[in-house]
Amino acid sequence: MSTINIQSISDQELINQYIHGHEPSLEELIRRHKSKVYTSIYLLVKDTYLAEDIFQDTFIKVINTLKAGRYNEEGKFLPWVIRIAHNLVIDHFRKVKRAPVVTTVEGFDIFEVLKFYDESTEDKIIREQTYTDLRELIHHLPSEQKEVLIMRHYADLSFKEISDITGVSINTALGRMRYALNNLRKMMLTRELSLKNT
Amino acid sequence: MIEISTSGTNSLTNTKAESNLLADDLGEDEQSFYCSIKPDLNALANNPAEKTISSILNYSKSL
Repeated sequence: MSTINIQSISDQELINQYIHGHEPSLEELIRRHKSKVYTSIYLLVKDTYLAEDIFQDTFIKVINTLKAGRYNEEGKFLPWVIRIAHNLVIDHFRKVKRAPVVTTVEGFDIFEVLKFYDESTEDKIIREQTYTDLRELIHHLPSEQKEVLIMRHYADLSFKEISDITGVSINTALGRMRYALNNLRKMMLTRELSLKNT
Repeated sequence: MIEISTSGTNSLTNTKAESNLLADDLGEDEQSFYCSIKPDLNALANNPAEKTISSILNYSKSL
């Protein structure tokens, strides 16, 4: 009898096995995609506990859908999971009536960014701050730019898949990615200037 | 005048090609900047707690 390495099995095969009662297939699916899904959630909600909750709720929905035989996204497991997570994040912000640091325009408030750096870098070494700073810069992006950047980079989705999830055209998704990158660059330059002048 | 519309296209045959085309359609400058920050972006990737994964697996087994 030959032994098949579960890690070499496609998502779709794992889903089929899981639907037929093979629980280890679910574990492999989760382990395979956990970082992409969790990071995408975490960077949107900026709270570890909340991200854990939404991650769990996402996979409970996944399980319920698979076990009910309602899964019909053949070959697109990860984009489907990301869509569920994305909708849960939106639901959360609707419930608490608190928008994630967002504006509806394509720009950002540069004075807020400067203020942020003045406060946060006072007693810290620049190099140690790199990751924290980048995380914060991402949070300063308008939400629609932030979600495209996160879905593209962390969830590894195509612009077509992002456009399907967010309900915009591929060109709009691409444009938002461009704005996100350009705004990140502007904020990084502003930050450098701000640090040099202190 | 350029009209931007997808109404006349066959989405089944065109979307994948369009997607691939646009995926590479960031400007040279943008691509270069994106590449330069990728390592830092990657460093932000994180994982959920093992406890959370266990809870999910236990939920599945309980059904």
